[in-house]
Amino acid sequence: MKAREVAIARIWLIAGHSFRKAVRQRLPRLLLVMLGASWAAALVLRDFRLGSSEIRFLLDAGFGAEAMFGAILAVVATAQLFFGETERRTVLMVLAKPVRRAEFILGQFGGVLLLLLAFCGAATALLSGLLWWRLGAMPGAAAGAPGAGPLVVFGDVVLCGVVQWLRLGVLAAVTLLVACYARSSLFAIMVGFAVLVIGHLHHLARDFYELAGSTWTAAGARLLSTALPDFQLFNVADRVAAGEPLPGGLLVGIACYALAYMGVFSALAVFCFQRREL
Amino acid sequence: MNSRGREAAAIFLALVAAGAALQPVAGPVRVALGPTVSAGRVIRRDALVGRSVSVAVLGGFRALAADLLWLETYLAWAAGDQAATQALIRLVTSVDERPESFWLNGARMMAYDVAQWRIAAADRTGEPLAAVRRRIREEQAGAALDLLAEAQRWHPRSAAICIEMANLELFGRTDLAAAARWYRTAAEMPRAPHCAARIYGELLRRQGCRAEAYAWLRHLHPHLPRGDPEAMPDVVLARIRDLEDQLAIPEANRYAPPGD
Repeated sequence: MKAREVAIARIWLIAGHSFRKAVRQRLPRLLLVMLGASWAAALVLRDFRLGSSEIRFLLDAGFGAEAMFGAILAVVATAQLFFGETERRTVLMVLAKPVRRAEFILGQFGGVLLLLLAFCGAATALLSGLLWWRLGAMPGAAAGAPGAGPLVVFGDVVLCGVVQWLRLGVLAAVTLLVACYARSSLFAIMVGFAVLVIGHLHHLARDFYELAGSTWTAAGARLLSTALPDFQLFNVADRVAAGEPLPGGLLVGIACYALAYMGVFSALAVFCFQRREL
Repeated sequence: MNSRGREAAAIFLALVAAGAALQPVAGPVRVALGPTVSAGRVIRRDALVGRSVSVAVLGGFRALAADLLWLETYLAWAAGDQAATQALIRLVTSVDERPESFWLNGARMMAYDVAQWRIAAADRTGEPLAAVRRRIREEQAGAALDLLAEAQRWHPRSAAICIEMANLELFGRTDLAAAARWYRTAAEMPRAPHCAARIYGELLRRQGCRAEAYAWLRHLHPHLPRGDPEAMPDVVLARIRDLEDQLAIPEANRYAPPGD
């Protein structure tokens, strides 16, 4: 077996181990229960919808809950897995074997990606089931209004779940980088959430400082917005909820952007972990 | 700078380089996703209700947040509170710009109901009526038109918004020319109701542009579906005949409906 294949096998082994470890924790199950509860609340509150149809209301609430609980899982599970290994010193036992530090970090990241894939898969399947049930309860609703498309394109709901997974993957990669640099899990979690919020809003900060006419602050905001990923680019849920199609070019662009950022952040995480004292 | 500081600086520089390298990928995605909320709108929104709404927006629960705020708007409207009604209409449309109904109903409330409340208040103070009434109606129609101009940013192909703007120009500002322009724009939108084209023709006639109105209605009539009561082909034909009489069109040149 070639050296590269052996390295991939080791990364895969660590990823599988990290995934099983993460699944055994309470957090993913708790978040799935909370996701279900928030959708149940949306079902109860659907009579309060005033501006949109029931299906669009449920799609909006469904994607919103998936994004929120998924972000919590991506940040907290990544930090818990990493610091669980370093604080209990189990990382030393792993690295005592012929495992490189880079393989350990990539394996950890792979485990988190598998966990997020399972979460997004379960959430998308649950949401699709919920929408299927509600469409079944509304005779003729599946076909949509005359002249317009169907109310729900299930293929687009699944694609939206894939985009959500890519977004959470980028967020997990950011958190892993911070965890490799930081000394405490709390700091890594706080910075992970801060990056999530900044990544959603930095275009506003840039607009604001440019409107204010301050050259230095505008340049600073521009530099910061260049350095951090733009999480607004993953916001395809609005399109799906509005019944608009998802063009293939858009999805390819988002996938390239996410994979490139995951690569950059994990490479930097490896760089930090190589220099870290264990 | 110590080694950790150098490490942090190196990471930051690498991220800036990666961000700059990824701009060609991010740019087309940004364009394909369409307009985003501008800084000005967020500043106005947060000034009104604080950060909670922004958090809700970030969480993706915009529809629910907007619906609950719309209920609050109804309460303010039922109480006749003009300041709260107008502020809440702007807030609802800031939180969730997607449903057209918020924009349309909000504009109607601002143009007609708030105008009526202000006129009633002015009447109670004994101000001279006609001029004040006219000024208030124009001001409120202007505010509603500003709201709908913002709506067009999010719904650029909406015939309903163009028709509402036309109605506001017609009934709020009594500006026939502006109203006609909006009806024409609406008539050219996809899935536009038939009334938009018909009213455009009628407004041309009322402005004295009989020849243009005649040409427009002649062009319109063959495209109207016979079985659709909303299309009113008989009304359009009657107007064509009326205009032919007024313009003294010779019998040989008069419009012959298809199928006659």
